Amino acid sequence: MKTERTRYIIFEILSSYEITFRELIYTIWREISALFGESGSSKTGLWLTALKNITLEEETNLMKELSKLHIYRGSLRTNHQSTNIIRTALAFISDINGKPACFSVLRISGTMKTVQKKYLAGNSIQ
Amino acid sequence: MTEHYDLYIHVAQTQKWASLREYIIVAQRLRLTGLGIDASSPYFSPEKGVYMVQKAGLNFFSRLSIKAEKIPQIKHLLARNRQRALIIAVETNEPNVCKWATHDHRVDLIAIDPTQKEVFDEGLANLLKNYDKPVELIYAPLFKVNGPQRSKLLRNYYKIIDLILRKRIKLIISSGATSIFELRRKREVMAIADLLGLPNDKVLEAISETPVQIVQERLEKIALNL
Repeated sequence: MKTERTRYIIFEILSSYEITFRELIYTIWREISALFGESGSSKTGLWLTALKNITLEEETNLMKELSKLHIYRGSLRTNHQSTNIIRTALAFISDINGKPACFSVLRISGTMKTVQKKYLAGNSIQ
Repeated sequence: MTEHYDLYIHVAQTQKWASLREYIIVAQRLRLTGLGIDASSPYFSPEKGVYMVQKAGLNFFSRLSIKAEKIPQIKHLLARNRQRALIIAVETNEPNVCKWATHDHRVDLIAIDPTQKEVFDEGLANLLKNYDKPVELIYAPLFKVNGPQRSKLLRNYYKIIDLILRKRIKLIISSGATSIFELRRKREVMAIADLLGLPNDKVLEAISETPVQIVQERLEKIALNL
């Protein structure tokens, strides 16, 4: 059997409410199951590895006017064959536990080092 | 880097300018190049909109979606409103009105409602091809439904896209967003379109080349006072 090649999907979430780790992982699994079925979702080997609130770090003059907007950045671990499935499922998510949110994938990386160094510096697991 | 234009967003009518500011911030974050803002809101003033959007480094296009049930009504609305916006789109559930609008040179694009697949038939597709009129497909309705309703909606999208690809009709993909959370980055639009059966090159064309082409054609028409 071939070894699975790991991929880390770095994503960003814009939401008007605070989001928890549990809510997020539940929403992602629900969306993958809804679009690709239980069989499809079982093949993804999905794992939410990091989630970090970066709202304050990213604050600009314009952002200050929108105090209600929260920005989160996180990473998902999956296998190289499922990156498109995950990307599509994330694009379809428009709310997390009833809280309006918008996902965008920033990058897909092969190593955790890049994820931590470039996108999620510091302790990120909530 | 390919540009990404979203030619159809609704600015909330009640919040005046707060909502447009939100759209601009999110559009910058999602690396959009241009926004087409629905000018039908009574609070919308294209001059202020141009100032705010261009200050943020984005391209601004005012857009008007004309909704009509009958041909005399659409004729009247076109005559009254054609100077109100740069891009004139027709959005209707009546096949006859849609077919009439395809002939009219004042109409820049035909917006297809994916919930009403019956409107977009072979006849309309042939007309659109003959008159080289683009079709606009919005993806925001996909975020508003779940379960069996979404399955039905996806089926409508598959049928519409299949016809667009078979007839080689010009396509524009817009968000049709009514909230900032319905905007998507270019790669996310490509992922959604991939699920709907559109190849990546067609998607890139639909979000960058065709919108620019429409705007240029419209500006030429204005310059010639047509």
